[in-house]
Amino acid sequence: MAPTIIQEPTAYWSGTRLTNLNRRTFTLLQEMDRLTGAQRALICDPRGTPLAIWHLEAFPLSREEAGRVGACLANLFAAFQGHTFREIEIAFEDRLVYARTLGNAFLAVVCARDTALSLVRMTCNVAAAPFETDKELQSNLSPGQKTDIGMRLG
Amino acid sequence: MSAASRLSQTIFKLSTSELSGEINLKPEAWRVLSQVDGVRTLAEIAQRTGMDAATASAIADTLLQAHILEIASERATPAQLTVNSAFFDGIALELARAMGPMARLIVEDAIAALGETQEKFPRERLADLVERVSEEIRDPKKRIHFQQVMLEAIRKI
Repeated sequence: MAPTIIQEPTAYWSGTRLTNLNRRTFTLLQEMDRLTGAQRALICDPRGTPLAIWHLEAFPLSREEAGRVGACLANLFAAFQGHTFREIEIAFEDRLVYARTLGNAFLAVVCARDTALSLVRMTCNVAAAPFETDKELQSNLSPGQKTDIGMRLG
Repeated sequence: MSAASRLSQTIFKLSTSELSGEINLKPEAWRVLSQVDGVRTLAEIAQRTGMDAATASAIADTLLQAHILEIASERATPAQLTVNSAFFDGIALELARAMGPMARLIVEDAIAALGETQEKFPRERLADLVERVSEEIRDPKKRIHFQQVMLEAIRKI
């Protein structure tokens, strides 16, 4: 099983709120283990702050790097005034980045360049459903709620 | 097809021939060698080690010429792997559960729209097909369920 880093207790993320967040993010990211070509994945709050990170051993993803990626993607989601986007696909020379919203959060997956994007999209769709429909979690993630970046190795 | 991409579908195993003399391996070569198990393709090894395909191919070629590795088998390229027609029956059946009797026609149209035929439909495009037909399901819950079932079916192929 690939390493998964989940949110650690903070002033805001504590008790059942934290337990629910970590249960949902961990379950979602475990699906990446089954996605051939997936190398790294992260779940971020609307500002791009990572809430959970998953990566293969060969493709480390530090909290700092995840924070940079998350911030860039958060800016991209909001880049075009008056338009809201649900998905972003970026093709680099050697990798693909697929990002999609999860209600009041977003998921980003970094894959090998030759990964079938349709497979990535569908895997994310299926994995995201419980996260997106959890009303309590979505309320806790809603913009304006305080979030913290403290994390621990799960 | 380039030599590198052809080699990427090759499965290697450790050579059974007698090796003599001192063998020096660079760290990159050792990383490739440590992943050779007679099952993984070179492309899979490249992915696991974080190498690009061309580098992995060059290393494998060197190890092959040094008689450290030998070819276990060459997998057919994805383009040559096609889908059993029973799979399309499965898609149509599952789609019919979600949206009714037009399912078979929708699957056939989607195959044609992808420029393929049922007889020679490449496995690597199955996810494209499933995603395309799932867009016809209006109920989000039913669409997710359909994708979930089909993803499991694709993984089993």
